[in-house]
Amino acid sequence: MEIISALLSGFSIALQPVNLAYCFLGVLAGTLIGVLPGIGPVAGVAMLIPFSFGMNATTAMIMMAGIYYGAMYGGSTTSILVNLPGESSSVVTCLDGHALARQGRAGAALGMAAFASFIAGTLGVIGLMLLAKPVAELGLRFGPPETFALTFFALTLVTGLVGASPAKGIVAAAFGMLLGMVGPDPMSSQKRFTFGALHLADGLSFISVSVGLFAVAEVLESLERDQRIVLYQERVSNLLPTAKDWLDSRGALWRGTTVGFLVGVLPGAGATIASMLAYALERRVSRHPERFGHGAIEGVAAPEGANNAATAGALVPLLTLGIPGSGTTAVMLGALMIHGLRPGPLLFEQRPDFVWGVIASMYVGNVLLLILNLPLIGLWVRLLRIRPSMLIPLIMAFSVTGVFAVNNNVTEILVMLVFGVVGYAMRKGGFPAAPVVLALVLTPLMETALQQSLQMSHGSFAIFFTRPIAATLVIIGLASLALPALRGAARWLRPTTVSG
Amino acid sequence: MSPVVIARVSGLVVAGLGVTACILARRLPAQTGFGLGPAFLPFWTGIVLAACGLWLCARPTADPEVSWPASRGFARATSGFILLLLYALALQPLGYLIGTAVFLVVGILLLEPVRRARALVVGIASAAFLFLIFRVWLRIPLPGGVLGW
Repeated sequence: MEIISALLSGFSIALQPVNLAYCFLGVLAGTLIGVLPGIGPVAGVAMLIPFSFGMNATTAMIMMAGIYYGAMYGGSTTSILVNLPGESSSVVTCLDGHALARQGRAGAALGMAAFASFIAGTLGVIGLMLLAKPVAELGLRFGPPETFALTFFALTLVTGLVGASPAKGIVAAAFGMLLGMVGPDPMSSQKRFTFGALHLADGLSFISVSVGLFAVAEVLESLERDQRIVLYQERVSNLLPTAKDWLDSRGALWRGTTVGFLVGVLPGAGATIASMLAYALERRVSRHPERFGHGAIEGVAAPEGANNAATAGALVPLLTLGIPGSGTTAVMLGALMIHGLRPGPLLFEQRPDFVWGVIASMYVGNVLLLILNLPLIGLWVRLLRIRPSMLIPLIMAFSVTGVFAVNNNVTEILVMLVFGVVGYAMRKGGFPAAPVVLALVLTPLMETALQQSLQMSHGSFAIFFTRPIAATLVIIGLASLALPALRGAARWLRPTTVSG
Repeated sequence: MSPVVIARVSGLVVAGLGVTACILARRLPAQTGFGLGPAFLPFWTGIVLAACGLWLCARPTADPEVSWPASRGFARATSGFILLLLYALALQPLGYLIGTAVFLVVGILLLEPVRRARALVVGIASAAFLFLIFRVWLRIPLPGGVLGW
């Protein structure tokens, strides 16, 4: 009953004209970001943060969440029609989605992707609603050792889950930690790694770093690739999946939603991993695994459901513990801090208007997205005809303007460009970028919690192993680091040949 | 350069970064009145980076998903970056509207040199659109430059 009345008050906030307008703007921008290959949700949210400067925190979060789950809806369109994922969580949708399009069933694939996104997105919000309060109550019992353990857990998990090489994941997270240490030490305020530069005295702006690492690096890579324009000229019709499609996909929808939500809740894992796991699971449980990759409709329903459910799941640790679980939620946390709001377990008691307003807006946003992605699909298909020669300079001008707006300083643009080169070099070296942003945002919190914990224990690290929650999280974190290291060491002991 | 050599070089760069972080951290106080000093976390993070760098150098793995550009592709990426850098540096003296319009027109022409008239129209119209959104609607102060607004 308590949840229902809280949700109703949330709807009274979400349906206010200004919030409704920004929810629409968010899901529209998200769909656009999803449809267009290149700019993913991390860069998209970071680029659009300056839009939120004049808003209150609730409206800003409604818009950012809209961009996040909107991008999951839009990502499937490009995957299905032109076999080019709009963003990373739609990579597996290409396999069966594009195969269906080649068989003349693009409409059914797009329709199923939209319905799966809607169903899983809505169920994910219900999951968020039910799980958020108990997790927040658990979070109230957290002291500095548990906070340190949780941030450590999130960072170790993201290093293992992103990319093929755990060592490269660790490098990315450690690099992000060093970037997060630029500026004043949280306890003594001693300046670190500033090299006397006034601009670095308060630390690096996460907006400039994330737009550089994701948007500029992506643009440099697409310039290098000299992408030929992929135009989709055929008409898309019959968007409603058939009764057989629904029958084939009903299990995939449930499994995709469950896997997606649970993976989303886990700190460190995001929508991309959720969609890949859901697809792999679907193929494993299927009675006809040989159909996968050749146009199985459940191969569209499962990953598209999973990536939407994951976005709702990812908001659980963000809103209840103040710990982002992915690159995009890390950027959201940074943006909320600009708005003077620090998410955490007390948020439900101190700012119920914020929490329930955002949750209610996600129900509204999912309905808006269904409308945007079914009747208006033709509009998005036409968007795929925009030439990269127009799009790339526009994306860059937009990024530069957004980064300049952070504190009206050209130096921010130069910082963005430096990290654009760093991001490009990281891609060439096979290093993932998401752990960098996550570590950049988490490090100040992690270091404060570490120093406070050691003050409590008079300098003894045993405090992280004598408290049950902290010990569990630290041990799982250490194990997730140790396992790949042990596997690597075992491989090293075996004679191998390195092929070039 | 073969992918394995590149992997080794990137490992060395990472190790170098880790060692630099350790050296810089050693100049900071290890202990303060609050307890652990500001040197602790940077130093140990540097150690982790250096260790991982050496590991990557010793066991190079060529990422199959990473493609290395031909010299022409690399030249395109470099010219795009230089254009962005010039845009950033010219923003203050030229002003947002003129600077952005010039950047967009040159950027479009760089990618598609044949359609000059379209580049001009799209570049100027897009710059005006961005100006309306950021300066007029969102009231974000942008460099005025020669126009003064």
